[in-house]
Amino acid sequence: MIGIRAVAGVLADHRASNRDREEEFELEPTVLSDKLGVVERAVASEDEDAFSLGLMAARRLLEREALDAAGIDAVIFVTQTPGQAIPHLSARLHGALEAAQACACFDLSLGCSGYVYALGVAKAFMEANGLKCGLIVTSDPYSKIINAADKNTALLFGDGATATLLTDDPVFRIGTSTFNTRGVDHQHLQTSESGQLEMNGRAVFTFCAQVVPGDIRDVVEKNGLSLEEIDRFVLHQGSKFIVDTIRMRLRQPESKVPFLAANYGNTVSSSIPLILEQEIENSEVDCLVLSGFGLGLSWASTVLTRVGTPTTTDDE
Amino acid sequence: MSKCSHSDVIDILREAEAVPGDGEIPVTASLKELGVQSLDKFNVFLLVEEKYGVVVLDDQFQELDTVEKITEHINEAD
Repeated sequence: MIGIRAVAGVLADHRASNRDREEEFELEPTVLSDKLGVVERAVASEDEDAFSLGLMAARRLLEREALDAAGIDAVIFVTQTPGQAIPHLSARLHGALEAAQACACFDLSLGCSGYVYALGVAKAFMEANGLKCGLIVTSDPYSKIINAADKNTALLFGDGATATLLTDDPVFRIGTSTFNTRGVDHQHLQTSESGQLEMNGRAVFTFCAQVVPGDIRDVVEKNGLSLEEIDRFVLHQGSKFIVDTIRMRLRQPESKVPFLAANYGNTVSSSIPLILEQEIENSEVDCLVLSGFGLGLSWASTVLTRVGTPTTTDDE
Repeated sequence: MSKCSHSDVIDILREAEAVPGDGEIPVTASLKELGVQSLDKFNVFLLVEEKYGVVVLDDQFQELDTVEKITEHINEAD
C-alpha cells in the first residue's frame, strides 16, 4: 500500500503587505482579515521560479527524511507556471537531485485541485508498477502571472512549494477519491492572451460553495465514514471567505477547518500540503479530508487515515 | 401572493451572516449602509438562487443593493 510518509514545504522569503493597498483598492473595513484572510503575501524574487522553489522543497524533504535521491523511483511535478515550458520540470528536478535512471518523471497540469489529483495518480501508478518511493512536488508561483492592478487577484496569491514523500511504509493511507470537472465554466479562471491571470471572483465563489460541500460529504461516505469522524478538513486555501463558507455549509467548527494562509496567501496546488505538513506531526489527527477546487473548473477530494487507525475500506 | 417578502430577504441576509442577528433592517437602506460587504453579497445572491431559483446576473449585482430591490427582483422573475 502506497501512502504519505512525509511532507515538506517552503515559502518565498519576501512578504508583500496587503495593508499597504487597502486605500488604493478602496477595501471595506475588515475585508483583509475577515474575508480575503490574506494580510501579506509570499512573493518570489526575480531569480526564483516554480523549479527553484520546488527543488528547495524536495531537498528539504530529503534532508529531513535522511533519504538518498537514488532511492526515488517516481517524481510527479504539479505546476501550470513552469517558466521554462520544455522540458518537464520533473526531469530537471531529477537531474538536480541526481536521482537514479530507473525513475519515472512526469508533470501534472492542474491548479488548486492538483495535489489531490496527484495523490490519486501517484498511488495508482506506483502500486500498478511496483514502485516504492515517490515524490509529488507542487509549485505555482502565481506572482509571475498576476496583474498587480487587478483587484480580483492581486491580493490573494502567494508563492510557495511543497514536496510529499510517498512510500510503502506510510504515515497516512490514501482513501478513495472523487475527481470532478466543469469545463464549460473554465473561462471564469484563466490566463489572458498576455498570460496574466483573470478571475471572475463571484462565479468561482458560487461554484465552490455549491459543489465542494456535497463533494466532501460524498467522499466521506465513499470511505465508509461520517463527518463526525473527520478530525480535520484541509481545504484549498482559496480565501478565508470561501473556506468559512464551505465550513458553515458543512456545519463544522473553525477548529476542524483551518485557514492558515493569512501570512502567505493562496499558494494554489501547495495550499493543502502546506497544512498537511503540520497535521502529519499532530498525533491527535487521525482522519482528514483533503479538498482542492479551482480552475478548470476542477475539484477533487480524498480521505487520509493515519496508519494504525481502523477503517472500513482498508485495502491492505 | 408574492413568493418572497422583505422578511424573507432579511432572513437571507442573516443566514449569510451579512448583517447582525438582531435589530431593524430598513428595506430601503443600501446594503452598504447596513454593513454588508461586497463579498457577503456573493453569499446573499447564492442563497437567493438556491432558495428561489432566481439568478442574479453580474450586471445586476451592483444595482440590487437594498432589501426592497432584491425582493422585487425575486418576485418579478418567471
